[in-house]
Amino acid sequence: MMLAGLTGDECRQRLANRGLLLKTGPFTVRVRSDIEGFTRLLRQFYGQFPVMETPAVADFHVRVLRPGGIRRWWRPQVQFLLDGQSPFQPFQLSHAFPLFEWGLNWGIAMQAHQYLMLHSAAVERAGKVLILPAWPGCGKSTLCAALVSRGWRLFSDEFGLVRIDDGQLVPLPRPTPLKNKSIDVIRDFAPDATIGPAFHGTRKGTVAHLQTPDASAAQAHIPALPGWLVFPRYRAGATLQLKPIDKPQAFLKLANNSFNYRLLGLQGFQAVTRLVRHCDRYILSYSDLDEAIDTLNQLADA
Amino acid sequence: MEVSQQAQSTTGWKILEEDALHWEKWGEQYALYDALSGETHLLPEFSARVLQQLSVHPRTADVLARALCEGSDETCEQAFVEHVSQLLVQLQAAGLTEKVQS
Repeated sequence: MMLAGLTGDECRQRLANRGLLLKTGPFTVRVRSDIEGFTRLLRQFYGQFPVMETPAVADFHVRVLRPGGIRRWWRPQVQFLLDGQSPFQPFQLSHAFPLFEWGLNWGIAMQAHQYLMLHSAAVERAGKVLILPAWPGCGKSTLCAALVSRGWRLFSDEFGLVRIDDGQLVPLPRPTPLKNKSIDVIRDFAPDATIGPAFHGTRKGTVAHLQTPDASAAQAHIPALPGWLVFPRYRAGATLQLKPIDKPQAFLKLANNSFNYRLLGLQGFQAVTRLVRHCDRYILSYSDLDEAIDTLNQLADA
Repeated sequence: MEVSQQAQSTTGWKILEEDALHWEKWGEQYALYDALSGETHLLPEFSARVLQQLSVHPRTADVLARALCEGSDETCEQAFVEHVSQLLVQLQAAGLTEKVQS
C-alpha cells in the first residue's frame, strides 16, 4: 500500500502510536510524530511511496516530536531523534519537515555502509545512471531538479548509493530540497513541478522541496549501472564547457567526494576504481540550465 | 647523521607487505591501495615499477637500478642510482617501503 492510500486519520494514528513504516529506496524508516504540520507534508511528499505493514524490520527509527517543558508553548520547537538519540539542536516547530529530511540524510550517511556513498545527485536515462558528484554550492540539486523535470529518472538528489557487490546504483528518490535562488529558478524552468512551502531562516537559508515524480517513485526498486560521471560547476555567466577528465583525476575527485571511502577500506577502493573504469568522465561548467541539459541529453544519446 | 651515497646504495630495501597492496593501472599512472595503512596513493609508472621490483625480493638501490635498466640501451649511471635511492626514501616516507636490517 502507498502512503496516499491511508486516510489522514490512519496516517496520524500510525505516526502517533507504533510508527509509520515508510519505504524509501532500499530503506525502511519507522517514523513517529504527533506534529500536524509535519504529518501533512509527509503525506504530500511521500504519498507515492510504499508503507509497510507491521511487523517489519526498520533500518531507521525516527521520531519528530515537540520537546517538553516551556518550549511547548513559548517559541515552540521540534526535535529529531534517530534510534533514540538527538544528533541536532531543535529547530523551530514550523521547520519539522526539513529537519526530518536532513536528519534522515544524516542517518543514512552515518549508517548505510553496505554501500559506497557518494555525495552526489544521480539520475537515469536509457538504463544508465548519470552521477553528479559535488559539494554544496556547485549547483548539484538545481541541475538534478532540472534534469528530472525534463524526463530523467530521479535516483537521488543527495546520495549516489553504489552497491559493493555489483557496482549498480540504487535509487533513493526523495523530495529534492531547493535552496534560495534555486527555488525560483526551478519554478520558472518547470512551471508544472510541485514545489512545497518555503521554509525561511533555516541553516541553509530558504528551503522548499520539489516533489518526486510519480514515475521515479514507482521505479525506486530498480537499480541501474553507472554510465557517466559529471562533476558540475555552476558559475554565474559561465560559458558552457564539458571537459573530459582522465581516470586518475576522476578517481581522486570521487574518493574525496565519498562519505565512506576510507571506512570501506579495500571495498571502497575497488568500488571507486570500478566506477572510474566503467564511466565516461567530465567536468561540466555551466550557467544556463537549458544548455546544460541539452549537453547532457546529447551525452546520453550518443 | 649523514649517510654517504655509497652507504645508501648498499642499504637493502623491501616493501612492507606485498599482499596488502592493490593496484589499478591507468595508462602511465597507478592507483595503489595499501590495506595495511588504509592509505591510497596515486603513483607515476616509475614508482610503481620500483615497488613491483621490490615485491620480487628486497634489493639495494644499486641492484634495483640495474634491474630497472635491463632491456634499456642506456647504461646505468650513478646519477640514476641516486635517483632511485631518493625515490626509495620518498616511498618510505609514504609508508610503502622500509630498510632491511643487515
